[in-house]
Amino acid sequence: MKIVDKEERIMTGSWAINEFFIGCIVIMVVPLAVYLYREMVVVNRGDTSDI
Amino acid sequence: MVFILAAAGMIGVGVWSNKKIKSQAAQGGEGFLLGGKQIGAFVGAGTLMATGYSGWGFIGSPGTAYAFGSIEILANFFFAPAIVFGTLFFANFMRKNAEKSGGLTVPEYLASTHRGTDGQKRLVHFFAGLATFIFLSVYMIGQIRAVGLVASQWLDIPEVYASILLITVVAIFTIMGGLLAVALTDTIMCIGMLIASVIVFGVILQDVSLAEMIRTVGQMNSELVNPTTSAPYGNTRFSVYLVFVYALLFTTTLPYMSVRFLSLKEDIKIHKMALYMAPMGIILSLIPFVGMYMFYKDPTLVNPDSAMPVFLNTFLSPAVGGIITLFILFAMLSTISSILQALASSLSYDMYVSLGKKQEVKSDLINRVVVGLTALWGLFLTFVAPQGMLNQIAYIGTGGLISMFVGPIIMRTIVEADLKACFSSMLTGFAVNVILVLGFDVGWVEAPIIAGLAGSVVYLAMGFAANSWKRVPAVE
Repeated sequence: MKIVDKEERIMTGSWAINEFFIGCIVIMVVPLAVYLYREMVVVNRGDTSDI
Repeated sequence: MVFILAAAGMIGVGVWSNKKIKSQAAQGGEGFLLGGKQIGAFVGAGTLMATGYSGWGFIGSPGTAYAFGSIEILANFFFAPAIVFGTLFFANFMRKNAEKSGGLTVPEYLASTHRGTDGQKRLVHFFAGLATFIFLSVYMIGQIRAVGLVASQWLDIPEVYASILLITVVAIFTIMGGLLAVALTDTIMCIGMLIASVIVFGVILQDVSLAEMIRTVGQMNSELVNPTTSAPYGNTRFSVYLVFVYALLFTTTLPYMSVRFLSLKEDIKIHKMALYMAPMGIILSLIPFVGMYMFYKDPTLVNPDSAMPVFLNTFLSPAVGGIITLFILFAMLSTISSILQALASSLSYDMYVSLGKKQEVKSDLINRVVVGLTALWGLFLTFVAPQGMLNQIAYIGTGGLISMFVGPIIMRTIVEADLKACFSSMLTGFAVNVILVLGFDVGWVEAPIIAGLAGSVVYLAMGFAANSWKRVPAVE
């Protein structure tokens, strides 16, 4: 319960909705990071068969 | 009038898809069953998100959020990362394996990516096809009833006629264009669902800030804002995270989802597709906020499932409300078309080929005729199966398939097992799921996860044992 009390004071005031927004950031950042990594690695290798 | 135009548009997509797949070299089975492998990044993203976020979620999810609050907003959201990450880290593996082994459907993929005798291959192919047919038939009952319920209110006709009318539209465009038509209409529906989500969330924010809504609802019932359990998903606060695991398995193992991985273009960039999917998932996840908003406005609704219909009728103009209802309705149809296509292919292709020993039999005509027969089968089941229990019927169908396919599809990334391991894993997953659901009353989220885990243990143990405790067999 203490964890809940602490969390509800920050961000939206709801731990579940806080985690919703954190999840939104993660779901955007991970594919973006993979995209940039894949594009950079493939371009650096000069191998365009995968893109 | 709007309905007639929308239905004509969907059938038009079916006709166009038919021309497209016929103009490709891939005539016959691959064209109809896998959309001629013409599905690119954007259509792939749209079809996966539309099928994962069924239109039923537009009604059921706000209803659950009205009754249980913010836990539903988080649980519903978990489908977004599950579909995105499932695609990002798994689609290429399945697509490349299918290319190597020639699998046109998920049951055939299972049979062809495991080594064994021809008899064993046909056994696994038939068994997986039969399981797909049985469980997806059960799942389709729930979907047809749901669409009949919504359409009957919207079109003001009896549920029976509404179901027949809409399933006829779905059957026609699926018969015409196969998986390509299904994927294209899914994408159009996904765009409609995205527009609907943005409008709905915008209307809420125009009236009240998110912080104010959360604060007020918290004062009315703190459990809705800071839940101490994950009800209705489990008894502990952390049970809700199992929804993510369930959704990940849902994406990667259910034939009507994962068959899309097999139908992607050869040169597709999966990482680009995931980049399209991520914002789509976030926007579609805004819908459950309607439930919380409705509680904020009127905490006395007798039926929580009426939260979205009441919102549409009360806070939107009739024209906008009507268009959004149309999007919801056709989003539900996109899920039904995906199930219908997977269901029909399990009958016309998987069971037929595995029984007939004719790998070359990929008759386009048979596939199309069976889609029509399967639609009739779905309608027949809808009216003879026990009434009520929409969600339970759906969970039995999806949970059963997930339990069976987790081992052979996901654990295949760890060990190259044989068909004996594949078959044993499917049987174990099936048996454990039945025991858990019927004998121990385990929830719909936990049961397929535990049963899938049991099937995976069997798969890994038998797979490694057959390979002399190595990932890959020494001699093929």
